[in-house]
Amino acid sequence: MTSEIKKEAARDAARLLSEVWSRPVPVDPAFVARAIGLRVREVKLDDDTLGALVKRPNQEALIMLNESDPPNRKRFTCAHEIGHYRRRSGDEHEYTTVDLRSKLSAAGTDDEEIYANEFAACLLMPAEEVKRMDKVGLDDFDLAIRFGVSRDAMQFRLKNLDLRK
Amino acid sequence: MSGANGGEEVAPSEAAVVEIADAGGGREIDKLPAPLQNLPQKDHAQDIRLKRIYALALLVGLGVQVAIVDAAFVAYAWAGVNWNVSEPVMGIWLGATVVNVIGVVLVVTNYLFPQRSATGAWLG
Repeated sequence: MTSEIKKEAARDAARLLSEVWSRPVPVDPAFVARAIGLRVREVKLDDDTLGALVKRPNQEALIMLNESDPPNRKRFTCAHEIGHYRRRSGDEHEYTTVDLRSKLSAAGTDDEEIYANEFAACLLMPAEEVKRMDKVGLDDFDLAIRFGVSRDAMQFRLKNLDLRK
Repeated sequence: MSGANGGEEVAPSEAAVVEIADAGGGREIDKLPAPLQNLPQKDHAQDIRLKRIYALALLVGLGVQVAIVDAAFVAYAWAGVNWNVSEPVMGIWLGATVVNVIGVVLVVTNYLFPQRSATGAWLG
């Protein structure tokens, strides 16, 4: 079940990238969000809140990012919220999704979060690009810089793609 | 990590987030660039600058060395032996000059066309 969700997320992220992103990496998630009609705003949020997706009826959905988070964290959160939005595409109802730092560990068991996390990883670190750069011989630190993600996120992605043990 | 549809009771952080969204606070952004995305280019530019300095220093050093060797040879040939330079001395001088030039050519060629192993690792 989990792997199906991940496959779906990977497919959706790849499709979105092919539709709106024609430049080389690093992918800019705010640009991608704008391209599909989402607004992105940096706001002052409490320390535990990473970001949120707020959808009001007949309004563009809004991604909110914690302004005090470091740039790479904001990029990943933004991509994660795009994942939530894509998962609910077609849902015109009002909804709110809030991502909390304290609930990160629980994200591995929630389908919605599994999808959003995988979507974010695939959006910021497209598999083909990661494989191509890994083949050149770049280490995980270099790769993380080039993809604009944290080293942890890069290492996790490399493991998921079976490029590292 | 939590989601709620409108009308349902929302968790405190959700209520706060919705309130902030409705208030229109914060700063609208249209790009989120990677913080170190220009680092490889900067690193490359620094590398080129360093190599330029290194190459210039080597060229100047080589020029000075050749000038000293030539001056010494001329001094020896002209003032020392009145241009009756013996065959071994001439051979050594010419040989040393050829080795010098070939050495520089080898270093430059190796830099321009570095060798790589089958796995892609640089061999120098």
